Amino acid sequence: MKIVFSWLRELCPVELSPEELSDLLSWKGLHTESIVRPWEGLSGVVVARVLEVRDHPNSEKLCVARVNYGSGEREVVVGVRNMRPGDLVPLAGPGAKVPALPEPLSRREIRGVVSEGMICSPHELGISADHTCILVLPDDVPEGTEFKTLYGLDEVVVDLEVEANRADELSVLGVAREVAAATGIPLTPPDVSVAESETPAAEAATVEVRDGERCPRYLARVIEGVSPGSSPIRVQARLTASGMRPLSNVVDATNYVMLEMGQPMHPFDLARLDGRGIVVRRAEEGERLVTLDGVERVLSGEDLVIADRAKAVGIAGVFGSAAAEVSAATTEVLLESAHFAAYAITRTSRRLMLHTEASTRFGREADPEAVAPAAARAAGLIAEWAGGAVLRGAIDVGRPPERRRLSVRPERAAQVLGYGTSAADVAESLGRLQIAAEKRDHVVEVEVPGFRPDLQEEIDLIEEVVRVQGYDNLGSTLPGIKRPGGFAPTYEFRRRVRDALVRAGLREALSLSFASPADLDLMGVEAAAGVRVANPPSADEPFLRPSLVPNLLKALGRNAARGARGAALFEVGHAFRLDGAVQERELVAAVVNGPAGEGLHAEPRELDFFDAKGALEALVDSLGVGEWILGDAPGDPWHPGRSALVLVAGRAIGVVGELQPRAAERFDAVGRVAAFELDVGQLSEHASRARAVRDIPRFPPVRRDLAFVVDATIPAGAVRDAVSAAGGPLVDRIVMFDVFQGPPIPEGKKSLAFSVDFRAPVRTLVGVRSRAPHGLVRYHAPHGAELPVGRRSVSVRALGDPRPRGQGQGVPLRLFGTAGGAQRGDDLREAVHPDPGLFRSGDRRAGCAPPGPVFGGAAAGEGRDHRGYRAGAVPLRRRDRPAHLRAGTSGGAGPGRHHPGGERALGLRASVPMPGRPPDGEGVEGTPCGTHARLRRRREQRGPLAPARGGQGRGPRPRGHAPGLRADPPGGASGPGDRRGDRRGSRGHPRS
Amino acid sequence: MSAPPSSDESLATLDRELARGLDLVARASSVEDVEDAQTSLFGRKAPFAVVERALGSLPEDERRRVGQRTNEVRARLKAAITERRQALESERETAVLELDRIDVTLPGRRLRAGSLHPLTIVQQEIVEIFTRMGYRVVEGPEVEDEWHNFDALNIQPDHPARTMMDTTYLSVPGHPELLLRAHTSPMQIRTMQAEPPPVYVVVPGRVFRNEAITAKNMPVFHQVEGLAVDKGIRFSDLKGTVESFLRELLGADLRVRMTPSFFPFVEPGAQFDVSCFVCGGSGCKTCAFVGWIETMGAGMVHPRVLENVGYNPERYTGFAFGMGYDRLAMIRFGIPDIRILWESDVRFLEQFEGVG
Repeated sequence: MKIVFSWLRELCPVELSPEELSDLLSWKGLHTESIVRPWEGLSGVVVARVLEVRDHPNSEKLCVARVNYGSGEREVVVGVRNMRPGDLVPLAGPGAKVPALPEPLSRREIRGVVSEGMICSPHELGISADHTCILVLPDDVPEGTEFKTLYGLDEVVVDLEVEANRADELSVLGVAREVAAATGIPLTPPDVSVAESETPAAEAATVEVRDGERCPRYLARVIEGVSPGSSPIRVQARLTASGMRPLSNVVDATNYVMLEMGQPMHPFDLARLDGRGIVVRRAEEGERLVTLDGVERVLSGEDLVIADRAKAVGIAGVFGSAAAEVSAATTEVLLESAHFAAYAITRTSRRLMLHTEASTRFGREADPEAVAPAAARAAGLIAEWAGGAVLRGAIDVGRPPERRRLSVRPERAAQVLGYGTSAADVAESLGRLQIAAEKRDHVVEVEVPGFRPDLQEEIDLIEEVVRVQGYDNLGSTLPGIKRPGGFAPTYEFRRRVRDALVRAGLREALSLSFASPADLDLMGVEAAAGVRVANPPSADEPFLRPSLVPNLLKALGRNAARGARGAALFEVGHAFRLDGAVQERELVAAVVNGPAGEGLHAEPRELDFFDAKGALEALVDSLGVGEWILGDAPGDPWHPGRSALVLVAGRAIGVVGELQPRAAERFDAVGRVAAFELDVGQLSEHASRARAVRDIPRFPPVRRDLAFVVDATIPAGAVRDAVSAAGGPLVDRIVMFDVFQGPPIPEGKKSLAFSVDFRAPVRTLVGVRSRAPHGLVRYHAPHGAELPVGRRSVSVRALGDPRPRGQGQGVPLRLFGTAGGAQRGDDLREAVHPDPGLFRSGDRRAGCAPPGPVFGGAAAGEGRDHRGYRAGAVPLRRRDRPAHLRAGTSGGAGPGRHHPGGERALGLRASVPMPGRPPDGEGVEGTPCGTHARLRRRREQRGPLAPARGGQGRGPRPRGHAPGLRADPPGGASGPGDRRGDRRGSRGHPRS
Repeated sequence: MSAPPSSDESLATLDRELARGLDLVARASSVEDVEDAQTSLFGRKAPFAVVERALGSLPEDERRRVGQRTNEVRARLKAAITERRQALESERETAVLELDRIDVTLPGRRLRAGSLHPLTIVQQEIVEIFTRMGYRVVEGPEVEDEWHNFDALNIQPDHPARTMMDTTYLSVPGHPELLLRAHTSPMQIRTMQAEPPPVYVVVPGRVFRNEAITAKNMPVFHQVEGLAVDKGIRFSDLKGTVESFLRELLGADLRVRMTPSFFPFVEPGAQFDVSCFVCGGSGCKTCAFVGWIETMGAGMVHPRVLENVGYNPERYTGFAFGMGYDRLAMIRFGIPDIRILWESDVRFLEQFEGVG
């Protein structure tokens, strides 16, 4: 609400500056949005008399006016010609400033004629928006009078934010009441007396109200003999400063009183009202009406219209129509001042999307008691500004409603506010707000005036009391909370999720909750399973997001477009699907894309599946999610060969994988895009904060690198699990460090390399050289398939063991075995261990038979038939490691890659039937390859790079492959946690 | 085999060997040279050894003289050898280290760093302050219904906030009441419905308004809601609580102002402004030249709201407050345009490494 300061002072003559008043009002809840001085840019404009208007010699449109400004004459070029010789006009001479122009005026030549400034239009002076004519002034002042002083344009406008429940403050009077209450300066209400003619208004027109509920009161006054024209300049200036357009004196009078008193009114041309009467009725369903803005509106039966006997002439309380509009030809005016039910006006203006000054005030419930006084004041102003006579009395249908009566208990006020306030204080405080309050027994009885419809119950009055008494006088106390604070489990859990991903090097992003049809399509969500938004902020995204992935992909595309080299982002947020009801779930998603690093030390590679998986591992490990595995590829939009479902306790809780290139390209992401998305709620069900410290091992490990040549389709995780299970409790840690395909590994096979730490809790293990010859054994699988198995062995004995090496006194260290128990091939038991007690006695007899399936359920996943998993393989000593594992230029994992060393891999073979195939002998065979002796000879000829011989298992040994690719630090910590470490893929996976 | 040397011969040999030895050692340019010199001086066939072996055949007085001299020479030579060896070893070590020299101004190797979103950072700071004050952090759904979002909060059916212009409604067949929560206040209702008083909770979360995207507004933003309902909760408790919180969050020297305001679900209503922490109250662009920044709406829980959840408003009173913290984060970190918060630009996000 823009309040013109001088207007406010007419109703409550405060001596405060606008800034001081603004501060005072904000303590009362009436906050200032801005303070402006609209005529700050006006100076030097004076009143001048037009002496002569003549044609411009070089222009048909322009003219030249000669004017007298009191102390001299000037010639000015003018674009319009509505001024005549003898008229008074505002002259802005050289050096003068007007609000509409940024620079002061100067003498300048316009088409060969020198113009000494300008004669101003109302627009240029900020009086109204009219720029089609020169402002011709009333002829009652001498030439040379300062224009700004003459019309009091040192005006200040304070724009106040009025709270939604305070209709009364949408008027100068309402604000003046607050000022009066805050300062104690008495209110001077507007003059509502009006000189009336003898003729009663009731004889000039009729009013019929057909809907008394929506229109409880309708009052009409009649003014005869008006001559519409411009309003006084000061009135126009006030309307403009208040944000309204001056139109004509009749209309301006109603707007002026609306701004002043808060009562919207409407003038009709009485002569154009059919039957000289008003009918207030509901609109016909589908009734059409052209409003004053020239738009045809279609009404409903719920809308209230003002009509005459023949037609609707306005939408009640919202907008008039051209049908009975006041025009220059109008002589008789019917002035409407009515009270409409707030709900009716709100609904109509909302439905028609038509919000006007009137509908805003009625919609908040205007003061029903202001109907008559506002009409009297407006009628008086019309007569004053437009001439004519106000007919006696009014046509008044309905009556003001009864005032609401409430009571306030001072002790209730004290309970809520925290300080005692007496009944007398309460009554006094309310009295300052012009609210009649009276102390009776122990309560204060209140009669709520019409201008305060917001006061509906006791608590509202208590607020008024503390508002008057001052929020600044309230003390500051704290409640005595008797319980500890804390986080809901969901909040706590989300924090752990975020922290883990930040530690894993991802950046948190946030995106809006909406999705396009293409996003749904991408994620394979049917439109019917999407949650539609009725009024989406963007028409392109009419759904709630079913997944966080599309928005993250868009973020990658945006970053790429801005020249960023990739990004690693995550988001935790809600996603929505429709499944009968709306399913709202919390998800966490991450995307990685671009180079693995930048600059000097960066690895020259692209982020890919394993980076996403690494982040996923970091996440689930830090959350203490126990058993989780990867399952089948989830299908579109995920890459069929580089994605998997994430399964916890047999249930899919998410996906990890690379996006199909086609999908990534849709979002303009460059290169591979890997991502994961998990259900946070399901994740939290399997998470744990429990940590039990395991003893730090006192004995050094024996480290052996083992490679297995297996069918290329066998998951590395299955082999790892087999190694783990076969090694039993002595396996302390398994780190997978290479995958190799290509010559000399046969077509369709791959070599998997693991570094295995063996450790006994109670004594030192020492590795000794194998005494077993290289060779082939025939080994019967339980289902009759005969599989060739190559072998080498590791033997391990304890330091200080008195028994000589190689005498086979140890027990077998069953690194490899088969499902279901072997009957033959027990001579795989080459490895020895000094302490039979570490093994179950049955192991010794059973030989290769492991306690349960070698390839455990963890690898295969529940619900999958993994009984067919079998493996036979032999361990590989370091120096026997295939060349590709030794050389720094370790080959990639891609099939068919050229092997730089050209040497054959060692004779390590594993044979693991394909998961899911019937375990009836269709197992895939490993293939024998390589001879150790030849390889060993070559190694020995190699010189410095060849590892030192003997003393294996002690101290750091050179690694045969490129340094830096290994995830495990030398002598790094190991523990049960690490035993899981490698199942999920190799971080040391060399790529080039 | 020749006769053993006489004492004079021996002494002459020792002098010669001493001179030769010192010269050899002095000329040794490597540890290997020193080793060779040692062999040449003290080897089994070296003159020195010959002298030593001959000692036994000398008369006693000569033996003592020659022996003494032998020891002197041996000691001097050994000392020279040791000294030279140490010098050469040290030289070699220096050379090896020199070979190992690197350019220390090259960039260090860094682990890939992650970062929290600035809105998360601010949210965590806010809720941590409240947990220290004894509040429990709870959360609610983003999809709400009209009853929780409006009716239960005393927001009347004709309230302007209920239009599609302000509230984002869903279009779910059979569920016309569903919408995206316009504020975190529905969680007041859910919390009070779920548990009897006393209740002390704060609720952070995402809220939705149907607004166009501009530099200052987004259709999605964040609020944190607070609710305290107990016997004897007073308006002054609200003032003290929010003042403590704002000073904790924004600085102890901050001025806080509580003025009246209107929200349908509180009465009396209030808003809290803080002295502009950019200009200190003298007026700047951040505070729109008024010196104060509006930070939150608050008030005493409206008795009708308490009735709506089955609490007795004559027995229990409470206060509630709510603040959007997107703008707070913008001011805090000097973010000029709210859209930046939602663009996931890595150049923006990476600036929050190590924060939070």
